[in-house]
Amino acid sequence: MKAYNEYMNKISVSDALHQKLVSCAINAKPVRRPNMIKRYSIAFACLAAVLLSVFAIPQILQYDATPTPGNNPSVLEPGTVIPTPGSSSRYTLYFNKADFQSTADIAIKGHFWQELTDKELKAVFPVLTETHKITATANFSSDEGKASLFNIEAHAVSVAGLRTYIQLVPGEVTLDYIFDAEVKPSKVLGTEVTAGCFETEPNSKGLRNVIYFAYFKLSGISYYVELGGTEAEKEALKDEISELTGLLIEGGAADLRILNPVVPELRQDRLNLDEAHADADFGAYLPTTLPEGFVFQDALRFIDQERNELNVHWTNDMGYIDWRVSYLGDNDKRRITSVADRKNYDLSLYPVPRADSVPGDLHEIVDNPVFLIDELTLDVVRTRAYELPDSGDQPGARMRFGVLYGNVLVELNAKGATPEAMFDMLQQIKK
Amino acid sequence: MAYKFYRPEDFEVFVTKHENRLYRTALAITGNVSDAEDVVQEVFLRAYEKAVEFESEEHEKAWLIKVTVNLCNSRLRSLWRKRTEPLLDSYPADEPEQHELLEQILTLPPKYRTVLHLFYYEGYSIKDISRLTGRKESTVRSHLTRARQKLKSVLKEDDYESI
Repeated sequence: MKAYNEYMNKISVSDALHQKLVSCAINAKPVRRPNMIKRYSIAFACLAAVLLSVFAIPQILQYDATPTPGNNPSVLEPGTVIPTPGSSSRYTLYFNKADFQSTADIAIKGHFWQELTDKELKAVFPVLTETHKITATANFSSDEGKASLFNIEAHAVSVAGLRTYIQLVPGEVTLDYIFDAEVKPSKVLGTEVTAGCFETEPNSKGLRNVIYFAYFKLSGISYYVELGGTEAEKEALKDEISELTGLLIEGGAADLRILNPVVPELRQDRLNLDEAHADADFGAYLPTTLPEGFVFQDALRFIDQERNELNVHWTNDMGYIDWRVSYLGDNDKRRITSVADRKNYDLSLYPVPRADSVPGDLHEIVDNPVFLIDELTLDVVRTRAYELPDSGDQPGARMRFGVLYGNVLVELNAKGATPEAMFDMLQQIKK
Repeated sequence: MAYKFYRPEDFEVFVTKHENRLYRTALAITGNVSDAEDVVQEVFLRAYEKAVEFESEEHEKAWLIKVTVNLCNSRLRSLWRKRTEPLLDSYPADEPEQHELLEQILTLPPKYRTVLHLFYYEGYSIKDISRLTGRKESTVRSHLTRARQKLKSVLKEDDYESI
C-alpha cells in the first residue's frame, strides 16, 4: 500500500477549509450548517424544478414536432440540439452534461442468474439482435423457491466493435452508480429519452474518458444504456448510443414472458461448529483439534450457481485460520502440483516482493498451490510458511495452500500457527 | 489533557495538529471532497462544543477518528447525500501505479475502504479498528481479507500478504 500512503500524504486541507475549521473558535457561536435547512433546500429545489417542468415543458414541447431532416425521430428543444455533423445515426439525442458520479451497493436477495438463449434474446431485443451481437444475463431474486426478475444486463457489440451496456428492469433501473444530470429529455419515436454524458478529469497520463448514457421506459420496462470510451472516440460513441437507443425503441418493449427461471439450490447459512462438523458434504474435512489458543469464530455454508463450499474461521488474538472446503473445480486444477516441482510452491526460492521474483507463468500456482494429501509432508508445509514485519500486526508464521482429498479441496489461509500444527490438522482428516 | 479552547489560538493549534489526518480519513471513507470537508468541519465543531477531556494524545487522536468514521457512515447512509466529485478527479494520482491502485480502492464499498485506510495508513491494529468502528474483530478481519482479495490484481505481493 505504499502507493496509497504516498498518495494520501500529498493530500492536505486547503487554506479555505483550514479557515473554516478554526472559525469554530473565532466565532463565539460557531455557525453549524443545519442539515435540515440543507435538506429542505434540496427539496425546495426539486419542487421548483418540478413546477418549472410542469409549466415550461409543454411550451417547449409544442415545438417538438419537427423531425430532423430526412429522418423520423425528433429532438426536444429546437436550437439546443445540434445534430452531430456527419452523424451516421438516424436518431438524435440531447446529451445532458453529468458532472458527478457516486456508488451504491446492490444486494439481490436469493440471487441467481441465467444466460439468455438466442430465442430469448430475440424476444427481449427484437430489432437489436439483427444489427448487434448481444449477450445477456437475467438476474433473479428468489425467496422460498419463488423467483422474480431483478433485471437483465446485456452487452451489445456493434459492427464497429463498440460495446454498449444495457440494463432493463421491470420497474425502476437499479445501478451501482448513477449520474446526476440537469434533465433535458429528448424524444425518439415518441418515447421520452433522458440522455447524458460524463467526462472524467484527465488521468495521470493526461487521458480523459467520456461516458454516454440514456434511459427511457417502454410499457413499464425501464431501459438504461451506457457506452464509454476515450475522448477521441466521442462522435462515434454518441452515434452508436443514439442508434442503439433508437433501435431498442423501434423494437418495442421486451417480451419478458419468455423467461422461465428455475431456482437453483441456494444456501448462505451461518453454522456453529457442531453444525459445520455435521455437514454432509464437507464436515468430515474439518480438523477436530486446533492449535492451542485458537477458538472458533464462525462458519458459513454457501451454495450458489458457482460456489459450493464450507468456510470455517478460527482466531487466536491476531492469529487466524481460515479453512475452506469445496469440490475441486476446473479452475483449481491448474494449481495442483507434485511435491517434486519445488519451483511451483517453495517460497524460499522467491524473495519478497514476489510480484517481481516469481515468473509470470508461475504466479498463480506459487501464490496458492494445491498438494495431493498422499504426497504432503511436513517439509512441504514448512516451505509455505513465511513471516512479514508489520507494524500494525503481531508476528507469526503465515501460510496459504490447498490440499486435495480425492475430489474435495481443502484450502487454508493461516497466521500464527506453526507448520507442524497445520500439518497435524491436515493429517486428522480421513483420506 | 483538556481542551477548553479559551483562546482561539489554542483551538487553531488543535485544528492544525489533526486536520490533515481527519480529512484524509474522511476522504478515504466517503470518496469525495465535498463530503469529507463537511465531515471534518462537523468533527471539529463537536470537539469545540463538547470540550472533551482527553486522557492522552492517543485518546485524543482515537476520539477524533472515531467521530470522523461515525459521521462519514451517517453521511453515507443519508438519502440526502449530495452527488459529489470523485476523489480521483480532485486529487489525480501522480503515478500510473498509484492511479490504478486508487481506482481499485475507490470501487470498494466504504466499509472496506475504512478498514484499509485505518490499517495501512493510520497503522491501527485490527483490535483498534474494531473499537474505532464498533465492528467485531472478525468482521474487521473479514473486511480486510475481502478487500485484499479484490485488490489482489493490483497490489504487489508483499503488500497484500501483510494483511
